[in-house]
Amino acid sequence: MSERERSGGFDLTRRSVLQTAGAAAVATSLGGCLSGGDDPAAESDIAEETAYGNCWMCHHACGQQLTVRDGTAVDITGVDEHPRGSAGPGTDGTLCPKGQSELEKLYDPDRITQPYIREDGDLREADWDEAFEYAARRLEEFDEEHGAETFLDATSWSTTNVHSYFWGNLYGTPERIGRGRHVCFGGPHLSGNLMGLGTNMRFVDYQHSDYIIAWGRNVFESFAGQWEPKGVLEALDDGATLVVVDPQHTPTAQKADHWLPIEPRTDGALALAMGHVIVEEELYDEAFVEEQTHGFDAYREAVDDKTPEWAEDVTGIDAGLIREIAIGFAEAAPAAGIAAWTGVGQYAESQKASQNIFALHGLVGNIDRPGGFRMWQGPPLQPNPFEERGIDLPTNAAEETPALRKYDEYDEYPFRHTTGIGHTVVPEMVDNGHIMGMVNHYDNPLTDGSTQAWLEAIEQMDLVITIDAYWNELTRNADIVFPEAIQLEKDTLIDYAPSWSAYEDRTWLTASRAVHEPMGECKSGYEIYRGLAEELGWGEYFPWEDEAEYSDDLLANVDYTFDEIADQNFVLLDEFEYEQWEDGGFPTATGKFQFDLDEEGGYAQSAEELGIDTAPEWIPPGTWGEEPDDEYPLHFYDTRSVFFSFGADQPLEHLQEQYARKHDLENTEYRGNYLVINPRDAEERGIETGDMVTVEARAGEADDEAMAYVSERTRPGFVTAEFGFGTGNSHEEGMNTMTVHDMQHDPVSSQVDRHLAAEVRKNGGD
Amino acid sequence: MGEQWLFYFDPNRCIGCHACSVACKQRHDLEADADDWRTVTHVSKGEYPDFEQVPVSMSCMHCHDSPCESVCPANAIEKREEDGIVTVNRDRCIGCHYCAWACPYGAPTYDDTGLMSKCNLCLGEGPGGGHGQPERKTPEEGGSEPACVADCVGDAIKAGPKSEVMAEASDRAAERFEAGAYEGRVIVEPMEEDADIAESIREGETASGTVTYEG
Amino acid sequence: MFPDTTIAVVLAQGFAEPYWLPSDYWSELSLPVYLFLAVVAGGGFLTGVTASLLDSRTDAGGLEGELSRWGFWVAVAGGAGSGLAVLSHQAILLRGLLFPIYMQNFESWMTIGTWILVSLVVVSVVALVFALFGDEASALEGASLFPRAIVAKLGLLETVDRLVDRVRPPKNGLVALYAVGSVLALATVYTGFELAVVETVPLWNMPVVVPAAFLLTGLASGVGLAVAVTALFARDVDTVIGGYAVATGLLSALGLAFVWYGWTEIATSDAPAAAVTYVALSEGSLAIGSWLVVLGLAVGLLAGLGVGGATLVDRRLPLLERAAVPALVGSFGLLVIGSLAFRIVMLYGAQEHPVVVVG
Repeated sequence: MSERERSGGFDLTRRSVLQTAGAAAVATSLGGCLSGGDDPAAESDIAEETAYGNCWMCHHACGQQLTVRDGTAVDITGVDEHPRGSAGPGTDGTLCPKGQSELEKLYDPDRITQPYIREDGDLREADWDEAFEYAARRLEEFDEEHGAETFLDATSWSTTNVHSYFWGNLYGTPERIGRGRHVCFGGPHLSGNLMGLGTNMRFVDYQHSDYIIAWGRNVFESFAGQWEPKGVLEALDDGATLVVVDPQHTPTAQKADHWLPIEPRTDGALALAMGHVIVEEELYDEAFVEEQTHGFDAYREAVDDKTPEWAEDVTGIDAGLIREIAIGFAEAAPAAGIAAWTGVGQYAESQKASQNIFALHGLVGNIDRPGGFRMWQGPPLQPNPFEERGIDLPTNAAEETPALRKYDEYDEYPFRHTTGIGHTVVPEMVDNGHIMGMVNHYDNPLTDGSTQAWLEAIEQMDLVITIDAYWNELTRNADIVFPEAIQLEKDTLIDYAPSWSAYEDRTWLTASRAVHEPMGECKSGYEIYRGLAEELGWGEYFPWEDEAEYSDDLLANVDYTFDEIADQNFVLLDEFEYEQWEDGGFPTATGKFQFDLDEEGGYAQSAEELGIDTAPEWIPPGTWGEEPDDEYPLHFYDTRSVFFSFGADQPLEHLQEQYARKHDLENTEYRGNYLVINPRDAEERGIETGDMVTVEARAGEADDEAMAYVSERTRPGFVTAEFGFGTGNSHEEGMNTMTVHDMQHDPVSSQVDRHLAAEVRKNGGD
Repeated sequence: MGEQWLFYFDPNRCIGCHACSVACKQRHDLEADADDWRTVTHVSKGEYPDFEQVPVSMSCMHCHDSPCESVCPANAIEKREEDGIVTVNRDRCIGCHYCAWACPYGAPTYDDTGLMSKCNLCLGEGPGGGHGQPERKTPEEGGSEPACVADCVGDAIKAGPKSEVMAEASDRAAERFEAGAYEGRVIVEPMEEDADIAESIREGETASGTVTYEG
Repeated sequence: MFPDTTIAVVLAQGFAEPYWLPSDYWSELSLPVYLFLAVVAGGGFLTGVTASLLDSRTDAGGLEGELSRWGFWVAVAGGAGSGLAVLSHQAILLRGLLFPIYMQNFESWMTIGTWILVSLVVVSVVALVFALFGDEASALEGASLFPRAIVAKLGLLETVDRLVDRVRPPKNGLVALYAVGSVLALATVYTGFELAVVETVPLWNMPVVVPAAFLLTGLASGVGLAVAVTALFARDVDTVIGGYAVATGLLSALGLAFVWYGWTEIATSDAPAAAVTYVALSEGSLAIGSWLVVLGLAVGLLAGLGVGGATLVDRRLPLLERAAVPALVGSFGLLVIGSLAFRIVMLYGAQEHPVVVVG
């Protein structure tokens, strides 16, 4: 355990920050900025302190260190050796531009800082008492009229897990829509889970790896904590080979030894061909396959005729190169890994494609071995603090079945066998009266798919409650808006997946205290739930004062209290081994790594309904997804960038500016997203960089427009736009790509299929 | 005279994330759309799929010959003896923009007042910060780490007294620097894939691409 | 004054791409106007001085006197206009006005130039006042003497005349003043040096060509303007005017030669920035400006030598008699526009060397 010095002898609890700064100073410090010129730190009578944070911009908790001067945070940087924000022991901690910009968010005057309730058709400000009372009454009425089981829990980036107990156990709804399976990377999420890998397939044990394939993954831009780009850079320094599979050029492709500019949605074919080579060359881990896997015969059969030459026709990648990479990967194994993400996670055929890719892990035996697919462990958090306190929580949702499985109307959806809801199905459920209300907490389904249908659904719903920081079409149409404090204003223990990190064999925890009081009337998520619970007569179930106290019970099985962790920002805990499957096996139906999912009952049913194999196979693009045609000749897909995560960061000016600067378009007024289009396609359509364009797809034409960015970085025929802008989002400039999305989804997992056939049209005047 | 402070940049490690730009703005309380003291430019070439894009992070290089200082009619720009950091005294600046022309890196920026401001190696805070400050200390000596260095995700930017930075640079980078690359104003790592080609050109084995220009 | 740096850029076959710096810091009309009018003032002053000396030596009753006074007028108006133009560009007006306190770097052409300009304006004003007022002046006639009418309306003419004569220096003193002023007038070449010493801009960084072109075209404009105004108000072109018109033509010719030389240097330069400038000046929106420059100087040359020359050899052709004044006025007007266009093109067409990311 490393010693961390306390700054200047101050005890940095929230209360003492108030004391040193003076309550008045704190109240007026919001929005306070330093003017330039003299060096204020040189003046001796201004108190300067250090505070910690855990970045909640992409929600992967890099450690933050803030300089607080006279009660106002004036600078922000990383925490050295932090599990997420550094490359590990003896290395510096940094913050990416999003983390830097959380300082802007801390003082952003555009944030919602007051509760709002809807009265006589309009939203109006209310104080907390009023808001809690109103919400409690509406929830009770809702239960009476529609039944609590028709209320959807769409909570996303909350910093505690209390919401699931509140809505599930207490309110009694079985309806819950999460990110991973339904809107993020549903296919791989399902494949990973069922094959025995879990859902952390984004990551590789970078620092020990000799061969890294970033498959549909732009790890130098969309990283889950900076430990990732840092880890890959270390690996490259040590001579590792980096391969990128992506139809577009990205910063990751730039640093790769090989960039495979693959035909979109043909990843499954490439993976099978690689498997073919590895099996043919007998480069697979025979012992592992023999002892730890199930379904190898089915796999061998599946790859038998999938030669690199066959794959070249399908993927456009040279057969010799496919062979080279397959051999390189297998020879480097077990120190070889594949980091796969949304590139292989957001089109209709991606479940099987990811199954084909993940099979390669089992094949070369890199699972939980140094440099390969690490099975990261998290600390032994007590997930149920209520249990810790001996509180007997009701289980009101226990008897309820989610609508997806309860009613015949949804019999056409194969994914009902493996999950409880689908994003694209919710509007239908609302139409059928099976879902009549919803709570959102730091979430926005309007970006996740079927925007038009969801907009209508929100109107139809009887009760919409949001807990969020910014205005958008969702919060504006809600019945109750609760303003949550942002992470820097709360005592936060990161309980969301504190596992993968720069420490490949240590568990860890990270926490931070509030830098100062929240802006306006904002409260922490926990306090909001507690206040609401009290109004609903559930006060007895919430003995904890605040989020810090709740967190202490989450830490019941850990040797540190919340304060002890927050003092140092992070602590390293126990070591965990490699090859954990030796003792524990795999959490699958067969207890082994499964090439073939025939033993997974739910999946097998889905597969049968769809007429697909339970084993790896080639499912061509267009089997369920859209294919370009004469009317809509272009592939249209979403991308992410290093400046924004989800849709929550777009309102921040620093990020908008840098994003515009990256495209050399900072001199325009426009600060929305860019429609990236290859010069050949652009020329055909008379489009130049800077022109405003509209995207059309079968579902319709967007009202939104975006600015065209003509570049050779994207494939001819493949246009993309950054996610999280436009209608429905908190930053409405630009185009919400899902406004031209209808019901397209992956029938196996329910994941929204974000790939569309489209056309792009230049708008009159720019 | 104290040792000259120098910047170092490694395009192989730079991931083009612009954290350096935002970190600089946070440290100096600069507006998002003005005072771009540290910029990241993405230089690209080629046709898909032979496409390349390399990010380059730049700021004032505190050049040993500080052309900005020479042209400033108001003597507002000073290259300090102690540490070679080039600062601007905004009480003397007349906003004539001569320094912007003289600067090979486009470092001077002008704000609403019309006066010049630029990187001061975090010797001070804010526009004009650093002017008149005592000798810059390294972080080991208790000085601040420059914001861009502190928050470069890829650890691609370094700054410090010349001997210290040179010691951390690769041999190839040091060689090029000594041979006059970038006029000895900043140490830049050669790009991995082209280091061999560049060396070969230097050794006269390969003809250089199109142009050799000296002016 | 400027460090002896060389900018060596080697474009390798590996990754080497340019990052272009914004080169629009001086893309504001006030600045070309400032640069231009300073040298025009110089040309005017030189005209004033030489014509004045001619005038004092002959009694021919030609237009020397008027030309001299109009010369000083051009010097005063040009200098003042130049000063106002550059003041309008100042970030903080007070700092521009208090330039002796602020502009202390005497190694910078901008500081030197400011002193030159201010001094020239002062000397020009003095010379003009001495030319307009005093006992001798009271006996004169001419449009350039219009301030006398204004002062007379205020009832102060006698007082002013006497006052001016009281402070008038002896002949040698005036000659000394003229000499100082003439040096200052030629020193307006500083406007060219301000640009020429900027090594990052190939369009400017020609230490002989740019200052020479600025000086010659500016002087041509100053002289030409004085000539044109004189001819306009006097409605006559005599041999004096003719002579100065020839001088204008010669100055234009030399100026054009240097401009042409500079153009070829840009056209044949290897520097990428020069290529960008070349395109901007020959194909872009500035192409009109480029043409104006050439046209103005060429017309100045032709009209100066032609009309002036014809007048000198006393070819009193009827066409010439009728057309001389409008020809001179029109041509020298175009010369002035072309010369100003030269500065505009020089500033707006400037491109800094790119930063080259070399592999």
